[in-house]
Amino acid sequence: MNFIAIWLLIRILIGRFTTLTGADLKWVRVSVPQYRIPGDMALLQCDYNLGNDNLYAVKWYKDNEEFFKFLPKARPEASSYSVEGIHVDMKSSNRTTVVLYSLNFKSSGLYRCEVSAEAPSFASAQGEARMEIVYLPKEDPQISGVEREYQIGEMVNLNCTSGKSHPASILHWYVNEQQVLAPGTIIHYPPIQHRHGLSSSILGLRFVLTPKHFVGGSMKIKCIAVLSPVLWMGDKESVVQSLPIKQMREALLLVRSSAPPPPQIHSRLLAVTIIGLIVLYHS
Amino acid sequence: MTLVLLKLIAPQLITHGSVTIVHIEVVAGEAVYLPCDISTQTSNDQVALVLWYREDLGTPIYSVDGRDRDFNLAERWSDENVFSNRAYFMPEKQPAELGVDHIRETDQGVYRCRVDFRIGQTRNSKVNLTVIGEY
Repeated sequence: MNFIAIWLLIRILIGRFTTLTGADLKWVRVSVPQYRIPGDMALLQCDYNLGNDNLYAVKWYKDNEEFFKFLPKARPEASSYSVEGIHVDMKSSNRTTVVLYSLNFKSSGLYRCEVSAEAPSFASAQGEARMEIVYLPKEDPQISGVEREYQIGEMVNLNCTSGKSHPASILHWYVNEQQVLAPGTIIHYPPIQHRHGLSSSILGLRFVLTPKHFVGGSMKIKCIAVLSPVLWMGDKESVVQSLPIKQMREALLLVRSSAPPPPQIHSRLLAVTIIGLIVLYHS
Repeated sequence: MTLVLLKLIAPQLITHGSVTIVHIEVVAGEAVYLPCDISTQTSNDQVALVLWYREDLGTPIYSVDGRDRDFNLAERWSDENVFSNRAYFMPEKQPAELGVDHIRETDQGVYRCRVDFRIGQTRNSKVNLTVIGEY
């Protein structure tokens, strides 16, 4: 089955409000797409209420480095700076909006908009939000440590390694369609770091084979890699929500008993078949 | 009964997500010098505006506006309710400093210096000022 990727992008507003008292500039609200994939565009929005103040400057920072400014008195009004991961579409950017194009892994970061009123008050307020560039894995998870044959009473000791992604995939083991959660059975390993901020997750599975593992003469061991980033949790005003569609990839291991179904198998040899399977689940 | 405290502990420089934070401790009643780097990245650039904010306030507490003139002739303004005439900006120092006389315990807090240049990127830096009470 071919891999089908469906990626729905939602724009969630995680603006951090800054409210001022005693100044005319009342608030600034920032909205930035939370997740984007490489090559995408992103529309960054900075809304504000100046009250009776005039605008002096709107400045955008990524991880505290300024990349765009809009000064109504300047000629040209808008200008941008060279910052890694940032390409500003100047034609589409103005005093409230910045459009970024050709996003790449260096575009992930904390975006801040600072609005300042003109003299004499120079009142300033700022809002910030994170954008994460998500890389979907191109490869299926791989199950390693598979023996040619297993006997009842033997240790099954497997590792599952996910394809490179950002953020790291979350792995789950299933034995006969039942998720394995027992702490001694599941072994967590630190992820492998690759270039460009990508990483692979590794999850181990260890258990002793018993006849009850064989349902109808076979045992199905499955490793599923899920990339469903938990949306960034900021302060209490942030919205926390899951992406509507999870991307899942799985690897399946089928262990067949060479004898009639249990309980007769006892110490007989079991043949191992590895079946590659990729499934995309709609959650 | 006078207890002599450390006058000034050497400022500690910590860079945090590219915003520099300097920690300064001062005894109440003394003068303090809050650093703010206003040096330009390129020789053809100039400082346009320096704004000092106290983190809990939305309006600056001190400003040096040189947008319409040479920065040496810039217009200075100090918030009556904060440093008032106790503060004076010294752009000639390396780095530039905001001097504040007769520090009060209520002056304790985090200050942010924002430097707008005519050409270059805005520079933000912070000073965490701790005021040690007099005994």
